[in-house]
Amino acid sequence: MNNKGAITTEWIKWLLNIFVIIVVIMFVFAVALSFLRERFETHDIEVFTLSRVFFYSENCLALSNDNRIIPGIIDLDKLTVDNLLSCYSKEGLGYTVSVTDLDNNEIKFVNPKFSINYYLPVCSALKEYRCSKNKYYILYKNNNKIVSGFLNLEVISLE
Amino acid sequence: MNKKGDFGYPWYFWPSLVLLLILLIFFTLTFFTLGLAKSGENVIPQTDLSDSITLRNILRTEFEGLNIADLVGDISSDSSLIKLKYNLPKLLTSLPKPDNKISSWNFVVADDKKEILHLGDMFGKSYYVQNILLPARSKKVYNVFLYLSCASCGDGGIVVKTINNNLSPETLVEQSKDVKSGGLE
Repeated sequence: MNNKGAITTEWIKWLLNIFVIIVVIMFVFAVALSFLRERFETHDIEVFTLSRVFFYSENCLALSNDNRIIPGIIDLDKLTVDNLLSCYSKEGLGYTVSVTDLDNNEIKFVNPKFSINYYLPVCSALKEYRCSKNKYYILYKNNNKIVSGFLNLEVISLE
Repeated sequence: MNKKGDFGYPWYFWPSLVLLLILLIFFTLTFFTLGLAKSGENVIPQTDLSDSITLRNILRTEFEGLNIADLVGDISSDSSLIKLKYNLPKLLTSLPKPDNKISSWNFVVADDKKEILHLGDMFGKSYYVQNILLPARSKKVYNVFLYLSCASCGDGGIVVKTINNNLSPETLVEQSKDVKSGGLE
């Protein structure tokens, strides 16, 4: 083992061992990375959650009568910037809310002015953002009258 | 075994190395080329995000002092049926629908296995099925359904889980347990 040939043999043996170990480690890392880098589309579920918070929460837009919440009926008096900010705000998510009548005439529009909201008009050109316009049939209370209309929710979120 | 020329490896080294390479190639194909280990359902379909809020709001909508739930509850009388047939189609056509698709919202009232009222046109598969049980004046319980019938909604735009096109009331009840409303309401 002390002559030249033996040293070369030892080196080849070590190289072969190290090569096998490196290949196995690289493979394990590649598999782990492929799972870590997997993207999950959460935009739709965020929009759904947001809309349901509006419809069901007394602290958001849901109409309440004598401590009873009426889900699906929107109290227009609650549709304010301050209320929306305390109701639902999350980093990387922005939205605007408007209520229209059945003929699509705008009754009220609120933009909570999240910083991300400035990208809403150009959202389709920006790859890192995802946007959607959602329209929901609702009833809303306006001047003590409950009438039919639509709640329009425009949402922008980071991909 | 430890003599010059065989690098001092035991006899099973080379078969083991070959086996390792085979395993690595197999799992490389599995993980990276075919992606079999990855879940194909990491996007939750819109129809899995569901409740019956649109149908509830429709039933609460008032026409001439009576809401639609009252009219449905009294559907056995001709006057209620006429009011429903006159007022509801206008409301159904105003509901948002997918762009550039032939589609129609359908409103169905069923008594046990029999369909009493069906408003809206059938174009294909049914999406966003919503269902509510409504007690009637006659002490029966009506099954009320709302769904979007669409010819090609599964091809893009709204990609949702489809349900069968057999729209008997029993089938709708079964389907509504699994497939409910979604973001497009």
